[in-house]
Amino acid sequence: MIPLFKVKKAGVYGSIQDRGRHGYQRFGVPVSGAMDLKSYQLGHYILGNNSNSPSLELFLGGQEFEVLHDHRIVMTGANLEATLDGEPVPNWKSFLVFSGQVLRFARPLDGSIAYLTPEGGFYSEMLLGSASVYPKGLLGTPLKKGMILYGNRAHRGKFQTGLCFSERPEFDQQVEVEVWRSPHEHLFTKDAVETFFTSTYTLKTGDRMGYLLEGPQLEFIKGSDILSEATQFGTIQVPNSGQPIILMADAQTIGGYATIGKIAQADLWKVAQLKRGGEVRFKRR
Amino acid sequence: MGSQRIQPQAMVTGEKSILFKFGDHEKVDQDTYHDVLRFAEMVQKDNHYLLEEIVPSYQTVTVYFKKEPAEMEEIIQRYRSKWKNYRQIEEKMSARKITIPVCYEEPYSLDIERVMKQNTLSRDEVIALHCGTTYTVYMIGFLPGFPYLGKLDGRLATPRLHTPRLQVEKGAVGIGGHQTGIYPLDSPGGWNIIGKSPLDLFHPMREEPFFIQAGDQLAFYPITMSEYRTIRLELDKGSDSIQRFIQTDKRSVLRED
Repeated sequence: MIPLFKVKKAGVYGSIQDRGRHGYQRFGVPVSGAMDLKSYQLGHYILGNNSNSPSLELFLGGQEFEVLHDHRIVMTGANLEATLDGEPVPNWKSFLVFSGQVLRFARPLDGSIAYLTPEGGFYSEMLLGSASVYPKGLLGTPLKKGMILYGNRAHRGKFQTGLCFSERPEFDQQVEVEVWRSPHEHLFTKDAVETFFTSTYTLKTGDRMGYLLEGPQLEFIKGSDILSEATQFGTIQVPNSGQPIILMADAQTIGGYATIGKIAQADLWKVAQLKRGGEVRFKRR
Repeated sequence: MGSQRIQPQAMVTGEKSILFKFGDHEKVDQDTYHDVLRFAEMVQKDNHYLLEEIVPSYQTVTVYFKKEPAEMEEIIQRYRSKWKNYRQIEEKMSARKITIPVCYEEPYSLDIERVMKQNTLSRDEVIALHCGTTYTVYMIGFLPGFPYLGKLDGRLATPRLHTPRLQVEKGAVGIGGHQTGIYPLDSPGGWNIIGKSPLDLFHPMREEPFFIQAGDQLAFYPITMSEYRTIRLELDKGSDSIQRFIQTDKRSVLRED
């Protein structure tokens, strides 16, 4: 365990995440974990890390770190216009950082979420079997000014490793995603279901818990209230407002609103990387 | 006897999840919930090698798998045939009884006067009614460790606050409409707060991080401010001493099939 970064600016939001905390949903603990699992995994793949190592997940930029120890890192996911001592640094390709340098993230150029991963992963306390930060449940703390981030070990590799262009995901701001059928479809009017699968919805706002969409209103035969039952990452809830909400990585474990489907796992990263104003269309799988 | 079991509706709701639904009521129903608990117990015991976790609710059991199983239909059939023969012996249900001490005194009973006024009851009557019911814990959710409890005595029902509080303290006991519950963590909330419990329902560092589980029977009992402090001191010394607030009825301990 070695000190790697000191947080100089916490930016919009940032937190340590791994593949998530499984086995505690029946006690009300969300799974959490990386929002864009694809980019998260590619980071560890590029560095040859254990595939469940902790990474730092960064939202939208504004973060600034002082390097405390020479190391080898990689950035995957959205391009947040990162610079090292003012010089642009690449995504999808490892590079060396040296003690005293400053790593800055400015603003999102393509998607919205980036992963910063050191060789060997970050060192982080495991709570209920995972390093994933879930502040509402007192499981870890998000980035704060002055916080020190530790690496698991010193770096060994010196050469740059990266991902060839054809393998790098692209973060379109107009996506189409596949949807699993919901057990509550009969609570919606026929028109509402038809509308949902033929319209475009726009991302209004969102966080790790859920993405709020805006688009044609979905009507219910009676109303949206149900006896609460299990929900998961990708579940599309529709409260009485008729505007869908996509539950994300910190999804509550149970919910009392009707759902209209669940986004296919393979498409979740596309949704996670939408920015405000990004558009999503749904199709049956 | 076993053949009379009602088979749940099953639906694959994702790559790694199956929803089993018992009944289609709009109201909470004890018999349905009994099936939910028994079915969840059966799935747990079956211990499929890909089983990740089980989330029970009022009338559903959602089963999550670690990876996408190759044959979801086979798993559904397997559970269904096991369920058909799952022996129905009431005595085998686990019956943990949880007792929750609550201090209903100032400054913890922030909104008890609202509940008194709403229902024309005295303070003592509110406390007696709140402590006079044994509640079923239907499920845990909303926050880690937050119990969804069975019905509150109708004479205590009180609408939620017009403006939710930005912070309700951990341990606060509240009434929201026809429901009652305890906040396991500091959280925003709109329920009428009538008291506070010294128990930590959720403690990530404790050997058993979660104090309450679905299926428990739960009852409140009143304590004084000085008793509150004593229990708090005791728990600060050793968080595991919380176990003394759990009683398991020996005659009804779960027996293996």
